[in-house]
Amino acid sequence: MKLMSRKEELILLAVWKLQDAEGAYGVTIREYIERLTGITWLFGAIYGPLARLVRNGLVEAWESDPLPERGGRRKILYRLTEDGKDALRAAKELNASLWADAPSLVKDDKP
Amino acid sequence: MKNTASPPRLARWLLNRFSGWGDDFGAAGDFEEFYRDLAAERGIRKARRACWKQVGAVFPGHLKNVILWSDAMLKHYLRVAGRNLWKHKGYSFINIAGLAMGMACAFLVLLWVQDELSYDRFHADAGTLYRLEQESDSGQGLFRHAASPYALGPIMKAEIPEILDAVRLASPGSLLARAGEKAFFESRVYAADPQIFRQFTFPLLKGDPATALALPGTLVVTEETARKYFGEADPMGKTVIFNDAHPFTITGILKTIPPNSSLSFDMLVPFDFVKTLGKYTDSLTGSDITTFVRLYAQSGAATAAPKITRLVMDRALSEVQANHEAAKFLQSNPAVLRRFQSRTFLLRPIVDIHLYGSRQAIRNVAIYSAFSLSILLIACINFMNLATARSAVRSREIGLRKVVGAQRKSLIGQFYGESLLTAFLAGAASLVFVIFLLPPFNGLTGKMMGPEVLLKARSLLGILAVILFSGIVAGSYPALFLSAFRPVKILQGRLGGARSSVFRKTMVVLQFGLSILFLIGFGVVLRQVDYMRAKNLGYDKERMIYLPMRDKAPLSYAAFKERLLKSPCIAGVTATRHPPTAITANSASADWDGKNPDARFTISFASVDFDFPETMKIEMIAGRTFSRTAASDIRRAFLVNEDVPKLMGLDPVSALGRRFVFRGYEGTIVGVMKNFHYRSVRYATEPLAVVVDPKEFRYAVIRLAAGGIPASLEEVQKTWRQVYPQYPFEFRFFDQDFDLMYRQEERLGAFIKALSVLAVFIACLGLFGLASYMAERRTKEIGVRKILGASPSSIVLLLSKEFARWVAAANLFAWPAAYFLMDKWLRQFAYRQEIAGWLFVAAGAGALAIALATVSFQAIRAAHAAPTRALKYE
Repeated sequence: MKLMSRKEELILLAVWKLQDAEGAYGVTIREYIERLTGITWLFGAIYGPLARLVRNGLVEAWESDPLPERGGRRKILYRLTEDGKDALRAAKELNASLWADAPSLVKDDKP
Repeated sequence: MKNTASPPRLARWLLNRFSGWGDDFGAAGDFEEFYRDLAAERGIRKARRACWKQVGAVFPGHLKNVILWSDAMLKHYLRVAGRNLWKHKGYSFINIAGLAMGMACAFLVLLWVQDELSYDRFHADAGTLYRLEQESDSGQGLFRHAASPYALGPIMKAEIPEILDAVRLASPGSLLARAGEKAFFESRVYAADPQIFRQFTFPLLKGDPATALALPGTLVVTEETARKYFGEADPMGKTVIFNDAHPFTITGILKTIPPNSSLSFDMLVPFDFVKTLGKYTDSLTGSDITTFVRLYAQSGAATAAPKITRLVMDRALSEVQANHEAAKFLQSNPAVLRRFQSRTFLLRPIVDIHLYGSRQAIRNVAIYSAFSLSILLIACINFMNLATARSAVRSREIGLRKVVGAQRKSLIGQFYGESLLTAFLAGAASLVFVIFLLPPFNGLTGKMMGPEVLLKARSLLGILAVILFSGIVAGSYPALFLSAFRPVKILQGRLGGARSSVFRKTMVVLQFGLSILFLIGFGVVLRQVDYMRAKNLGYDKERMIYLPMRDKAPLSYAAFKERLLKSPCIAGVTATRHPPTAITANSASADWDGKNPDARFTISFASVDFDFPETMKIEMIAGRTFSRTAASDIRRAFLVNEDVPKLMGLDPVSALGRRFVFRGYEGTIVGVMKNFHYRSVRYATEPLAVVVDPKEFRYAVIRLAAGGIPASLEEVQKTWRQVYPQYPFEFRFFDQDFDLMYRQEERLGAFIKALSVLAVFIACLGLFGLASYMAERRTKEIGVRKILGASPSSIVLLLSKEFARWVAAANLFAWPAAYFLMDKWLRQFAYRQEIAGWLFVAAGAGALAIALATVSFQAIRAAHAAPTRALKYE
């Protein structure tokens, strides 16, 4: 299996979480990741990995109609493909097994 | 209202331009939504800042991309360009030398233009300084001049809110200035308001600008003037006596006034001094001084000028009404009244005085710029022609580049790069030329520019602009033409050369056309100057001098004349009111019996001494000259030139004895002189009337007898010293004045001469390159022809014929253009040398001969080459 980059993984997961709620596109994905990580994300940092995910067939894109609140411009929405879901699943398993036998990281002086 | 609902347009554009995202991600929409959310949540300012942060983050990556790619390509292009230059050294030399000469010419003119445009800009407040001018209707059209009423300055300042300050300048005329042993006549003295140093940037080396001219009896002089009187001694506090009556104390030393100042003087005295001389009255009706105003803002000029007009109208009218005599005078002189009432005041920006004022320097700026641009164009054409001519050689390279994937854009870039490189090399060479050519150029233009002017920011910008301009102009054709080749055709060797050769021919025609144009222009200007110089003036100007008699000198004129006439070295002595080479006074007040009372004729006027026609050797047509024995001749007898009887509708003989009233003189016409030129030959002679009035003598006019001029001058000087021990001796030859009169035309002539030589040379340089290229391309053909029995002369003819045809064709457009332009130029002269047909033929034939000589050099070489070598070629 091909490993994703950490960024790709983050974005893939964000798309998965957002796609059925408010819709996964540039603005929501960026906001979601920014909230999660607590640092400023540039649009460029989202679009790059997204483009790779689309190219690798993990994510598919479709356009919305032009929307007035976007100055009459369309939205490009993203959705996971079956391959994408598999990849996410694999990533989750990998993460779980990675963490499974790790010694505790809880700091000693904290109750 | 600003659209707050959208991100800044510039930010959006930059992001779109530099991010390289295209619209694959709906980025524009995302960006907009992101901005709106933020704006709603945290305010517009925060949102804008976030937007710009997003944009700023895109730049480094973009820049890196650009630099990485273009750096590699740039190095490559430079290397290829360098190799090409080196490989074809001959062509490169022709290109660079031609361009360098064209550029040197452009740079010199650029410096000159810059100097012309820099006039009066050194004043710190140049933007808000204006000269007050007025326009009035004298019945013969509007007349604009820079005079203003004596008392206006302070009144304006108090009454008109736009005006910050006003400085008045009045000329007290020529003053005899004496300091200790030294005495000179000073004519460049101004009486000025004390705030002159605040309003203008005329820095004082010594003295306090606030008080230097505040008190009566204070005097400010320039450095050179101080040196003239006091040498190296400190001039501060020293005394200068004017006209042996008015002592002044030096309270300030002015730094030398820059040559690009249209306002220039040697001495300044307090303004009120002119009133004590009795030359001016505190009035708003006259207009005889110069006033400069400083406005609060540039925008005030439009509103201030009409206010000044109204102010002067109101005040002057009430002034006239209060003065009974003045009112009567105006009543009886409708023309004066009309002029008085039609006065309109205008403000001319100080920086426009030199360019658009009476000197009209902008016309020369335009003419010389056009000339130098033409030369630059001729040089650029060389580059274009040689590049297209060599396109066949380069086409393989281009074809290969295209085949391995070069885009047209990058090929265009490459060719522009090459031409820019050449242009920069030529620019460097031309700067060397410029440094060597500056001294003669200064001589030609009367400027004082050193090589340091090249280092001014403006010059550097101009130089860069010229280099880029010529690089781009010269490179455009090859860049756009060569890059459009279809690679398959090139590599197959099928290249349609017809289009490029038509282009080349057109360009050569253009080059030689311009060269011929310059040659004809040179001929016309030269002939006109010669014509004016040789024109019969109507009197004999040889061995004539005149001496200004200033201050009280005219009182002893009779004694001076008497003593002079005793000497055998002096052939004649007379006197005039005006310099005899430039009688400029005129009036429309003439009246005679039977004159139509409504008609107004402008007649020039001079008061002269009895011997005027005899001394000047003016021919008489009718009547007699002034007679000393007829007592009634003083102030009551007129001599007129032949134009005056014409004006009166009479023939010269019947005009004799007619009553004539002019300028307050009333008498009869006693004689008619043949027309003579009392002004520059540039102007037509106009009606002239002269009268004897000993009170009006200001110049002694002397004809030296045949014999040694130095000895005669010695005699005049000796006599002057005896009669006028207190006054310095000054004199001028008539010839000196005539030399000055045509200086502008002679400069133009010299300039066009240099340009035409340059134009022909550069054009021939290009032709030489083209010819050698043609000969090279036809080597094989020539070889075959020779083997089949062609004689060398037929081959020379073959190669030269085509070029000769082009150059001959150049005449077709050069002739009409030259005729049109030179005819327009000649129109400014009252007497012109008609444009001669042979001039056109000569210029055309000259250009053809030079072109043929250039081409046949190559052609003869090609014709004499051994055919076997030609056939082995390739």
